Amino acid sequence: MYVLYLITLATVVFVVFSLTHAIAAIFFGTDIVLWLQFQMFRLRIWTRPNYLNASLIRVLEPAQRDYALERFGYDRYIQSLQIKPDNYDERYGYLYKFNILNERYTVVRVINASPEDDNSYSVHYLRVPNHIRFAHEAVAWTFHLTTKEYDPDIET
Amino acid sequence: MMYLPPHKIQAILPTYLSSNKLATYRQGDILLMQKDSLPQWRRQLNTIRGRVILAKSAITIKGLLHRQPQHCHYFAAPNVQHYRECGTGNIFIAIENGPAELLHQEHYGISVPAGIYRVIRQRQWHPKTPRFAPD
Repeated sequence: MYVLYLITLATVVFVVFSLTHAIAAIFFGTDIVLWLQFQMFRLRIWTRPNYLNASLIRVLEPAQRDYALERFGYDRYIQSLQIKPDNYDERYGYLYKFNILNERYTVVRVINASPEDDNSYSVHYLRVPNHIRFAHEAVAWTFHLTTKEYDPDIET
Repeated sequence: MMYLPPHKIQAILPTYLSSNKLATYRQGDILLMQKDSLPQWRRQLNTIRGRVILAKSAITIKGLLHRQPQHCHYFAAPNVQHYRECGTGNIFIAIENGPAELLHQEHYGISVPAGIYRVIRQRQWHPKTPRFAPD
């Protein structure tokens, strides 16, 4: 009896959601459906902090994947899949390259020059275009400069 | 038409760009690059409570809940003028009469000598829309 109740409830929820999306699609176009799906995905991440993991991120659709990667963190993703850096520069940091489905990701790891209150140095991962091959080139690109131009005298 | 990948184009660019190197200072995601002169077509920007604010951090729900102040890169000195180039939207600053200190809540300050500088904010690549790097 309890199983029957659950099946009925699931069917009703499915029909209501499908109808809501269908009606929204008819009146406001299909874009609103994608937007609704994305908002539901955001809500799912917000309510369940442990929902995301590296293997789930690998099967998401592109828009959700980018959002999920930012929320999950490139550092955790790289650590969990043990991705090795493509290029390392003592001054400018690490450059990582990896694929998710058919999309190429190139990410540079930069460290703040000034320490935090607890004497740790915060780390940032910045996505850069795929043609970039060196960490120095990647950091220079983030400042709209070439490798030759980017050589700051003082960094804090 | 021959296709040249971007790194090849970069390699054959004229070298005069780097021949006479001008001073550059980086504070977090802000880069100050010294220039010879201000752009011809420019508009002076207003100061906010006596501060020339170059960049502000994003307002987040977490920050509001924890009552964290919004961070910014700024000059508090009165001898700093703030310009935006018409057309390109590039930001320039002009420092007159001695150095001015570039400040931020999470970074060490930089004493910037007098001169004209272009302000470049760090960005990151995105397939649809380029974005600024998080502060």
